[in-house]
Amino acid sequence: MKRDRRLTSFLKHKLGRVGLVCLAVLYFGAIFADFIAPYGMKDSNELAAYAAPTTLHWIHEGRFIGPFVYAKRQSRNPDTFRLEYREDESVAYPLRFFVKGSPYKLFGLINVDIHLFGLGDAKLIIEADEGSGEEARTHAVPLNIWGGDQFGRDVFSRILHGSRVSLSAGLIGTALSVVIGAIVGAISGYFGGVLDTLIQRFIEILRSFPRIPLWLALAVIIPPTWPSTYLYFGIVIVLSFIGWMGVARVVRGMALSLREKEYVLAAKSAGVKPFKIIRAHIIPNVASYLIVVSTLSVPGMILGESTISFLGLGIKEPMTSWGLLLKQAQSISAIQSYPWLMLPGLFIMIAVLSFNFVGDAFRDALDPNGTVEKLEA
Amino acid sequence: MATLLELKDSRTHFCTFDGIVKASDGVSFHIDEGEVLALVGESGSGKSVTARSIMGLYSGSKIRQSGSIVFKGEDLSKANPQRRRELRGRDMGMIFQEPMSAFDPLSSISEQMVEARLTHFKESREEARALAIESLRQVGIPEPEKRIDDYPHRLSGGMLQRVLISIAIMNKPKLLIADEPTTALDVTIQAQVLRLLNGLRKEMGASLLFITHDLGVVAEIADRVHVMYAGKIVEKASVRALFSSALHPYSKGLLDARVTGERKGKPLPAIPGSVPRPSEIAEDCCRFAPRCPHAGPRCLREEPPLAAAPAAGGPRNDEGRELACWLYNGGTE
Repeated sequence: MKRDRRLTSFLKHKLGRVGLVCLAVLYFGAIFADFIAPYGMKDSNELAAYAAPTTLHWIHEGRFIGPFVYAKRQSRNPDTFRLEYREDESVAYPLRFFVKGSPYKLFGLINVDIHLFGLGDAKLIIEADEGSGEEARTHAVPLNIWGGDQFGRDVFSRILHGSRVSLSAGLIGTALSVVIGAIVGAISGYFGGVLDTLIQRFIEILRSFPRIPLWLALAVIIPPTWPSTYLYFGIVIVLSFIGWMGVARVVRGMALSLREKEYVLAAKSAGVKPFKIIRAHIIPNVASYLIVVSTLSVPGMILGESTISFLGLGIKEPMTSWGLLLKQAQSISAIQSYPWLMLPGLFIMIAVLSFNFVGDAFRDALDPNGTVEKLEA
Repeated sequence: MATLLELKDSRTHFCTFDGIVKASDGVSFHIDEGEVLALVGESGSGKSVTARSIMGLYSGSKIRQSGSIVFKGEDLSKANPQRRRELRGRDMGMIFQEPMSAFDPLSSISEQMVEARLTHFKESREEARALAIESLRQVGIPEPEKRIDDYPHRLSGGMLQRVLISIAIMNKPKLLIADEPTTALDVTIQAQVLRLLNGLRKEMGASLLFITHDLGVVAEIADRVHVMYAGKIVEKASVRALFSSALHPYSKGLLDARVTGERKGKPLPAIPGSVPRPSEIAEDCCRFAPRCPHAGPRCLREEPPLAAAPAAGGPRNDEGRELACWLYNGGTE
């Protein structure tokens, strides 16, 4: 079968392909976050506070036995008072797959407590301080492949849980702003006249506000007492409140030219109602623009959500998002001592770049003239 | 015969950056029931604007309309947009010039036909579709059951023009407006489409306002002809009278510029100059004067009114013939 020209053109775009794969992995991770992450969103372990990434070993006594960890011994250095860890290389505790962990609801429906991987019974032996007279205690070794944060929560798990908010906020925010933008733009362009002038001036005024203060002002409206899910939708609405204007302006321009097309005139002369014309003849004819602009504007939304959360007005603990996770990496000393706290930033970058690549590939495929500009969120 | 549509001093002016464009400037005419009226003139003479203002397609603050448009005894210029929309497509149907661009490329023929039907009649989708198929059969589309689900780009221009006609007649309107329906078509198809249009019109007993710049087509289809120039009607005549003796110098020019067998080998006569740009139309003079071979000082001084052509002494006349030319109304001096 002959392949669609646009599909071929899309697949030819190398970076677009890479981006698509990255996005597939990220979204897969977000959907199955509970399962892939070894710990739940709220699980914390005081022993893992600022824990360095757990070293995974592969070769035990000269033999390859797959990923495993050694038991650890924690002791306080009597001179510096820093905690030191020593690995006890006598016994290997292999990484286990499909282990029991903290319970969660798969897709919010099914109660499950199986996680993709975890540690069985590796021991962490905490040696008592010299002269304190206390006994040494033993705990299970926390598994923090990308380290732990301030409260001893697993960064890897938190990134996965945070990706749910960050990645979906991008999608929902874009969807909302594209829908609003398309409708307002089409109405403005199709009817023209006073209505058009009013809408356009309104957009201009809103757009002339500096963006971050406007976000913050809007974010402040959301009552902090709201439960986190409401808060999340509040943030998404705040983001799309600004995002729709770019779409509206372009769609308005397209509607202005489309309404002079003979088929719109023909529909009009058949007595079709104005809103029906907009729905049936204007919107479908700007659809390819909308698809392209959607992909190109997801990154803006992701960044927007991250910015608001980073500044402390977005998602609140214990719910998490990439922006909120980055908040812990604000100080130089934190970055210096615990560089793994910056990992969420890397994920933001990967997601944003991937969406940009995919968007560019879409644009090349659907809009060969390259007329679509990225939507400012 | 009863009058179906009557325009009285209908004006449509557009406010543009270049000033006010008087696209249609004081047009008066009437169409009787079952009659075919042709509106002819060069591009830019205001024919299409007149037609579209009858349909009520113009609205907005940049457009000024005045005069009256009386359709079946109802003054449309006073009707609200709601009422005008009810009439559009149900009581008056329009056929466009470019069949290729008169269809939304993204909806199938059936969607567009069903939409046109359901806008005015409360019936089920299936009923509307059955009617649409029947209507397509009437205009001679082969295998209408299959064709109806095609998208517009799969049909040829001639086919699409038939579909357009079938949409226009589907709701059995009293008045059909055809805006240069054959201009975009192949010469061989033109005659077919014309005959089809006229046949269906006769069957329904509808009137037709036929807009064209092709005088050959006029002779074939129309009862009466109005010649328009720069937003005004300059001559009204029956088809026979116009073709046997056009009076207005512009009508004469148009007739002379036809391609006929008699003048084989000789250069085609043309009217010198071109239609003035709408924003540059001079007031208080005959609008055709700058291009007219007979223009005298009076033509540049005063605008000739549309008046009954002189019956006695003048050339062959018939009832209702009107002219806007000083040549026949007291001289050009």
